[in-house]
Amino acid sequence: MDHPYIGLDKSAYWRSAVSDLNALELRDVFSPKFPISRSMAICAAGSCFAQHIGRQFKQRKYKFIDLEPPLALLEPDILPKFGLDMYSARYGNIYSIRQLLQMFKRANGSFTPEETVWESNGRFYDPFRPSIEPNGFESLQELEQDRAHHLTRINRLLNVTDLFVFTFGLTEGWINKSDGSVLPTCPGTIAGEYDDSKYAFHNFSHAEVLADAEAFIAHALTINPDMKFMFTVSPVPLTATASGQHVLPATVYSKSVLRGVCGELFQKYPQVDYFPSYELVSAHPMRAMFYNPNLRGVSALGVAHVMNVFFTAIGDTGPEGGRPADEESAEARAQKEEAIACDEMILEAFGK
Amino acid sequence: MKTVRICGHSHLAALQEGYRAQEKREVDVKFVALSGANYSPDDFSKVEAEGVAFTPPLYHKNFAERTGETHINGEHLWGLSMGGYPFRLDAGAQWQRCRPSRLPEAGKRPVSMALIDAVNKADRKATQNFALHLKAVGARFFFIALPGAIRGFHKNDTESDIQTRAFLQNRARRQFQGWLAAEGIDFIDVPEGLMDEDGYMDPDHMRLIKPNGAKDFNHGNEKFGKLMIERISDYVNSRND
Repeated sequence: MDHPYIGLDKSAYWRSAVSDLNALELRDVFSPKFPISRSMAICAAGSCFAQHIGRQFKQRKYKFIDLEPPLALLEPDILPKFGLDMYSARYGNIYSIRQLLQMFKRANGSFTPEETVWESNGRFYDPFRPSIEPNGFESLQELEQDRAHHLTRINRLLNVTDLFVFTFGLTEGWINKSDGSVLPTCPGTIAGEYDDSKYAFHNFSHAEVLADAEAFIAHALTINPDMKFMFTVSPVPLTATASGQHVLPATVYSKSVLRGVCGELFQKYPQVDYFPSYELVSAHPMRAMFYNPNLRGVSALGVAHVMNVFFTAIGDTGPEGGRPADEESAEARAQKEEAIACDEMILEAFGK
Repeated sequence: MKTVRICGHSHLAALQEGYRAQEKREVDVKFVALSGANYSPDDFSKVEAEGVAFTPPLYHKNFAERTGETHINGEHLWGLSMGGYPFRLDAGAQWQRCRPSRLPEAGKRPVSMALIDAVNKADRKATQNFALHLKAVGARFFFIALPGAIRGFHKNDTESDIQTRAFLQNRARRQFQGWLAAEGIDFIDVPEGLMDEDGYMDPDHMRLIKPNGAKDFNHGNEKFGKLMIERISDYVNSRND
């Protein structure tokens, strides 16, 4: 008797695609929907895992956009501390698509948040980028100058982007009650002062994340109708949850919502592709081998594996003029991993 | 007559010329040049049982050849002509696009003072570690100021560019001096009147042309060296050791 499950590609069957293989052999897990070439202008944003993706594009000599590049000759270890050389502008980690959408609205003037500064011990912090100056700005004027320049660059970003890569990180976030502006970190963790009369916890639902993502896609396509989107979900679990649940189910909920949204976007939009970095690290066939001993941080080996799967799938077998990521020394990989700036680490260090 | 050894890089040339031009010497100076330039952020010294040793092979070789020794310890008094120049911030054309946040300019990217200070701190680290190594072995030493730069050296610099460079150089110099003061390390500064209010040097005390014919924007001449040696001599003779 004939039926649709007969004669499918090997990748369609769990046995031939997963259980008969070593997890490291799952290299056909991603089939690009559209070609990605070195001539495409690529922009990256998202949670801290997205830094690995941006770094790989740069190392492999893709046309990676950075509209707020570092000054010449800066020490590599200084860069991430100041939000430099991380993404396509100095916006730091963007954990939710609402935050991404809000950034572009702030840049084009369609949204102006009411709270624009956090002051602490005579230093001034941007509530929407609290990590980009490790000890805050020295004056309100300095902060405002930097923000004005930053938003000018953001307003230009979509105009020069061919491929927008976004890594979805979290559904949990913190919102300013007065105007609904979403903050990248809970006030009081990196900067600011927590006040439950001013701020509220919000766990974005599937419907909200989907609506925000569709609004972002629509906005970006208005600016560049040919833009392509590559979405991923960070495999890094929550450091902590404010949902009242245990952190494990809270993490699974969060990632499930994000993965579900990416699936819907992938099916609906021909311009949207999904790269399964989340599955390549966190799915059970990997047996957690790509996590650090805390089962949260992704090891250098895991990052290299994920990146190799991605670049192999798009037809790139190694950095142009450099070594493939998996041939780097373990020491070099560990150093790079250390340099990845993750706001959540601050929460882990000071949140107890 | 007291003796002092002066160690450093290319700025030793002016000091040596000034010393040789002195009609009457107040101290006996021996010059120990390590290399032509020191624009590396990496440590160049380490503490060993015999004292502080230089780690770059070139420094080690030059030091040994010029002193017959391999280490700095408490035996001699040392003047160190190094530190306080923001070599990375002064490099390249980046300030044609950017400005320190305290010197805002329309159309230029503002750079926070914290970032500028972080770069300066990284640039000073090796020299500061050298000083700490010397303190650790009980060496007797002091630092000698490098001259500032000449106004408008860089081609195409606008007046605003010039002010930016001066601002950066002065800040780096002040921060280095502040660190030395906090560590209780003596510092022989450039005589008053040789720098203008922006921190640029009086060209009459500057070399202006390198031996190879290229423009020289930051090295003093014999006249500068002579004034500095007089200051160094006064300082050395004022010491009780």
